[in-house]
Amino acid sequence: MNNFLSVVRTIDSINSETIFSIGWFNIKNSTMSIFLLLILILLVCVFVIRKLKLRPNNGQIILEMIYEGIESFLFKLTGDKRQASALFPVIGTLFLFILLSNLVGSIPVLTSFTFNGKPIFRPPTADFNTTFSLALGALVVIQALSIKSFGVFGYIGRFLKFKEIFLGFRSGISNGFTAIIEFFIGILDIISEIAKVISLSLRLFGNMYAGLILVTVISASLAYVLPSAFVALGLLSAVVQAIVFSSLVTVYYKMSLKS
Amino acid sequence: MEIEAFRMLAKGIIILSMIGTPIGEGYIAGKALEAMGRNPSVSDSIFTKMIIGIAMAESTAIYALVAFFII
Repeated sequence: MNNFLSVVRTIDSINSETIFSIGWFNIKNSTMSIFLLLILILLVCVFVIRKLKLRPNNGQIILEMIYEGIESFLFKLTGDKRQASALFPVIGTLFLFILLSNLVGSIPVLTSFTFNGKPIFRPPTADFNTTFSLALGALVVIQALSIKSFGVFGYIGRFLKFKEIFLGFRSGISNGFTAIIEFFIGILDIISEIAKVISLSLRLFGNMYAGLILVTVISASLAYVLPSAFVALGLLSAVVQAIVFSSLVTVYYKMSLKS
Repeated sequence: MEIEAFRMLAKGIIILSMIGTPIGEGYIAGKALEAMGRNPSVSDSIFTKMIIGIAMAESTAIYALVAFFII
């Protein structure tokens, strides 16, 4: 259906395609986009950060706005200024990486370069490997920090609540039965931790991949005014998903500490 | 029937499962608008939290969409 009104393009598959391979390591098209993002950040570092002054020029004002925005957002979530400054390197990096990766799909000409019929660039978060490793890494760090806060036996005691059964039966029979129910809820918490990884990664991947496919399919029917609504929806969901991912990681971190 | 017919049926059932999501999101937005009407000065803060709540409620429909593309 190659007429004047439509732009036909093959739909990307769920697994990203390999462009070339170095030995046993395959370089896929989302990896090429990550290289592009690295070059962009390198340019920002060379042109803005090396020339920081006390009276800021234009690039520095934008960076300071972003810094203050992320720090006030963390302060609203945690309610503690010292904890917000301590969390800022990890959560700020996560937020900026996800925001920039989601916006790669909106750069105008980028997804049309092809090599042997496979597109070279693809948003990194539209690939399940990226989002799964981000979610898994964040959750492993949260478990490690929880062990550091509770101690090893306290951490196991969060899930297997034997101590509460003893205390409950000592104070009364009905309290003892409540403690047995809480024991089963504690075991269910282990599954809830695994569900957090899956839900975080699938939410981000689904939003980005669905946005990519929607624009492809709509452009194949009418390429003139109609795709603008879906591209705008994709931009909105890019920013919102970055905010939701980082705020969820912050909330999970806060819930896993000893109050 | 053949495998392709069953695959099309499965895809249809997956799309049917997304019925609940807009009902929940409409409830969230309605309650947010009502709260903004009661107290217009915190309207900005309520709007930000409503957007985050809608993204969370959308996530089940997104899991169904990913399953749709896999099948």
